[in-house]
Amino acid sequence: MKLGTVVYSNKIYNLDDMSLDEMKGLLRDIEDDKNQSIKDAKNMLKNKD
Amino acid sequence: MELTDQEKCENLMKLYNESEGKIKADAMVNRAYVDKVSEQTINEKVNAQMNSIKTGIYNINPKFKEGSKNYEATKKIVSETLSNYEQALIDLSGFYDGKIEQLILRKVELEASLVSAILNDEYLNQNIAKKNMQKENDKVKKSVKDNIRAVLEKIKNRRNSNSEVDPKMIANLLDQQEVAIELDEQLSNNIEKTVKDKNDNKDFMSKVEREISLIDDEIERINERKKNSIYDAMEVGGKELTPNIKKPRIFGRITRFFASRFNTAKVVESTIIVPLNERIEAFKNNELSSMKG
Repeated sequence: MKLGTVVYSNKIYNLDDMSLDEMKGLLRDIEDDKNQSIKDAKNMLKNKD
Repeated sequence: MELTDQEKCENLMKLYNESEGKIKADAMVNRAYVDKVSEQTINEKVNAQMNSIKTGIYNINPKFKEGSKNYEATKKIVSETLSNYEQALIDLSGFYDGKIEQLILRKVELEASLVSAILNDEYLNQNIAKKNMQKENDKVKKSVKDNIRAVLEKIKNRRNSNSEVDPKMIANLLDQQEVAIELDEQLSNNIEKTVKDKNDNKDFMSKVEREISLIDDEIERINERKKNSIYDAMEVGGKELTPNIKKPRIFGRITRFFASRFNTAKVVESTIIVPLNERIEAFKNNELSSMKG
């Protein structure tokens, strides 16, 4: 099963070489980052109301 | 420190530009993680099955090894059976992974619409601000017109019917005044509608965020169910992985000397491989086919 690579935060991750825990950690980082961006944007808009 | 409108727009633009990459990376890693869970669980299960077969063969004849009569043929048949076993597990995990994939795609869709809704929120904010500003401008225009009107009224009162002031002009100005009031009402209605749109947009965002959170929970649940389902598949009796295959009762009392007189390959085939193949076929024809519908 070839999982390929993914580019995130200026780094290339080879998913085939990553362990399950490493992959879970990366997934958590992306999720946190994404949620933080959304939260910041919403706060910014809230200030504007 | 309060951000200027331009800084806010720049931040939102940045959010929009970066979102695509983040959503894509999240979906790819999520999908790869799901595959990795399947791969690891299947490997664990196949290895346990292989160890069970080895233990079973050892229990039948401890001397049966490389170089023994029919060893290669037995090795081949074991390898074929294990491939078949592994394929059945891959099919099983594929059923769950397909469901998870649908959820990941739905999540991508929702996250993209959440970003759009945030941008839309900003657009509606600006729209309300613009319309309010227009309303303010109109108020200024209205007060200017009021002043003109007052002046004209004064002129009208001061002069009699022989006035030099054109009465048509006065009537026009008064009509314009009416139109301005009407437009002001329309603008107020527009602002109300935009405020309603903004509230609807906020409700939509909350709904989308709730659905995303439910999808995350569901992905985790299906992944867990998949692991348990793989562990339970083709097991005999209990729910744990088969620790070893029990030696057939008849061989329990047979000495090593006596065992070597039997055709080990045939005994292995009939007591280990055939029952295992039957379990694989039963699993494919029952559990797996009912899952696939």
